Amino acid sequence: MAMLSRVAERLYWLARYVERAENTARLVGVNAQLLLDMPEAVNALWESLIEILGAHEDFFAQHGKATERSVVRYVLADQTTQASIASALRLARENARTVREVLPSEAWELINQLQMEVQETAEHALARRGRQAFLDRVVQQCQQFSGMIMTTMSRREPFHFVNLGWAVERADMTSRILDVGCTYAGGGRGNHALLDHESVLWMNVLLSLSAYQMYRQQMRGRVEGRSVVGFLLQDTAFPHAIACCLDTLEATLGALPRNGAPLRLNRALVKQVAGADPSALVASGLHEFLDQLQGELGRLHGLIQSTWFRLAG
Amino acid sequence: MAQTALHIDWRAYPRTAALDELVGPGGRARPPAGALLNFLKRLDGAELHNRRKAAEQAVRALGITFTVYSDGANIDRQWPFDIIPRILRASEWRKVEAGLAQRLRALNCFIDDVYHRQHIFRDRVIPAEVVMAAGNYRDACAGVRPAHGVWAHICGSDLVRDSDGQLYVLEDNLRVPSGVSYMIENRRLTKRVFPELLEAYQVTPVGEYPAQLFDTLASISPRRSETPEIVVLTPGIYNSAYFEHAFLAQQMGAELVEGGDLEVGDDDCVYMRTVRGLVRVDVIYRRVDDAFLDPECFRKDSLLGVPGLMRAWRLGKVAIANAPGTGVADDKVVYAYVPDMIRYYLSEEPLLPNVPTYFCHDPLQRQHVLQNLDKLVVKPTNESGGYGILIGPTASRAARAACAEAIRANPRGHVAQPVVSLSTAPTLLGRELVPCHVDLRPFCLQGASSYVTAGGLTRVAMRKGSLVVNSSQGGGSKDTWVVAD
Repeated sequence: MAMLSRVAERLYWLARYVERAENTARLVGVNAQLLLDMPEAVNALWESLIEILGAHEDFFAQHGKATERSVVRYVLADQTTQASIASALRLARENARTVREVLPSEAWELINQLQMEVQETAEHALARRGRQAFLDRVVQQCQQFSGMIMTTMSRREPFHFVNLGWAVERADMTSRILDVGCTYAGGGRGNHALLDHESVLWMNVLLSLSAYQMYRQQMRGRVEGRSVVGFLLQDTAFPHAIACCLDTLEATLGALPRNGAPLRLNRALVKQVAGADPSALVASGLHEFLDQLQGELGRLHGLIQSTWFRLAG
Repeated sequence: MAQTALHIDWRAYPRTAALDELVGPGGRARPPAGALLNFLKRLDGAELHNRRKAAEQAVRALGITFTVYSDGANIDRQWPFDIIPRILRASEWRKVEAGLAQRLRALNCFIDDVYHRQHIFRDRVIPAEVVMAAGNYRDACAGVRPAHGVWAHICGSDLVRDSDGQLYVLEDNLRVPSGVSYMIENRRLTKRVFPELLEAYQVTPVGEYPAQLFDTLASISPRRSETPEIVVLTPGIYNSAYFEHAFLAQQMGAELVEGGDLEVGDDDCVYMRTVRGLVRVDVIYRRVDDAFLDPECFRKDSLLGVPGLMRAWRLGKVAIANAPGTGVADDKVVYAYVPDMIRYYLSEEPLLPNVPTYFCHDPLQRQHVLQNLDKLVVKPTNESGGYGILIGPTASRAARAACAEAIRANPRGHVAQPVVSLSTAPTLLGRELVPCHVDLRPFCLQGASSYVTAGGLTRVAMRKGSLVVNSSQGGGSKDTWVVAD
């Protein structure tokens, strides 16, 4: 039986929102740890977090300054912004609720409970004490959700659309976090308070993507811009690396019907990423490269949408 | 333990003015309830309590819910289930089956007639204005010829047993009757709670309904195909019966769709949007009211419907069950004429009686109703779910006065019936078995052939003395057994 476009779309978004909640929670946690190491750079760090989430305009429309207090409230609990963990989980739950029949029932129950829990506890997690426990809990529960999907869903169309959602969201988040890394590399948007700690900051980039350990096992030598960029851009084995996300997309798109247009674009992206020179990019042009890559990922999302959800052509 | 073994003494079972389905005078079991009552007698209050706990756990585990709208939010509630089954004799049930199938055949003849030459009006069997004034007639349906001349493919009739022991038809639900999934789930629950009892009785299974429904729907497909594409059209997750929509779709292997999943093509066929592209739909089992089916034809603001759907249906490109316009026969005034329809169209005598009904639009009958409000039940003619009903004997003086006012303002909008005492059945309230009032909703199908469920959904008023059995208003349900006698 063919799968309804609506069901496919809701599964795709469900996966994106859960992935977004997990990544955001990790990002906030890592930043909060980092600022204890470099108190002088505090506000710059919180501002960069807003930057990564692509919420600059929305945030500064409501707040004059990016302080720990205002950013944490915005990113954890603000129900009025799409960028918050609370919103991501609410939207994940709404999507899950309407496709319960295709999800493993424990997966639905987990998202349902997590959303209620976050709604109740997010306000209390704004103070430093208790914040890390809250963020850990979100990451853990999102991972448990993914684990359930991985181990209990047949590798058929419903799973493929979940997988597309995960991979697109993950590639997008990695490119955003790398882009903020540009600031440290002095790519024209340098911030002097941050420049003094370049290698700590690149480490922070890795930690934000749970990439530090895998990076250490893969890449020898000190943590520096070109190798971090090389790893997060081109490693085909680490799940958050963009090349690995694109490989997942390649395989998943390949399993779906009528996949011509999105598959062609994805192949071009694979080539583009593999052909990049990390050293040259860190010296100049990383921001432009990532900006373009994000645009292409947006186009890929659009093609997934028009091919399977909106049925163009 | 404070609650020690307190065994049931059927001689002490309370007697009421109503007839009890299982317990006769002197606490003697009505056949074939003997084995059940004996079995229950051996359980004490604590054991009954445990069995109910097991049932509640099963309801949660199986995810059997219904949705209630309250305080501006939709809440999924656990399905209320009473563990004591209700038993019907197979010999009686065979007559009821024949009576229900006969009723639905006549109702379908009537609907087909109303949308074509209207013989029944011209022959003065039913006054045309009575039907037309109800507001359920749809101009858009005139002249359409659905397969087999059948408009109402699924009918849920409400039956009640009066103190004379006779089952009466209280109303026929021809729009989007619900409850059948709960009939099936109730049997699953009994299998978990009282497996030993089911072994002792030969209970007619109820699980074949989805397969019968599938066959009925397949028999009206416009394309002759081995595998017609059948979909269940739901208003969505916030509908009170969403559980049932999902259940039936899953059981039939049909796709559960919302209006936005369907579109009408340039060829006037209906398609669903799938990841493989557009797939043609043959039969729509709709659980959406007429008014929301097609914004081009009915309510312009409907987001639940499919633009162009009525066009596709009129051209015979898609079958819709129940057909649009079927509601013309689902009205409490039209109901009163069903026995006449049976005689008129089928030249048969009705096998199942109606409850006598007074028309408030008739001056003499209205006079009678207004003078006897304290003895009658007054119903708005165009409501369902038990809303707006006045039960004369228990209503307050003020409520009766307001009702009289409403009748005078809109006589066509009301009918009245004598109070049917509604039989009772032993029901577990707390740790006690108490006689609670029940009704029965069997489901009847008609396509190329007819089918009636074995029993149906027994609804029970779970408050002592209450006559309201609707689940939205605190009613519960029982598993219903048809057993050889």
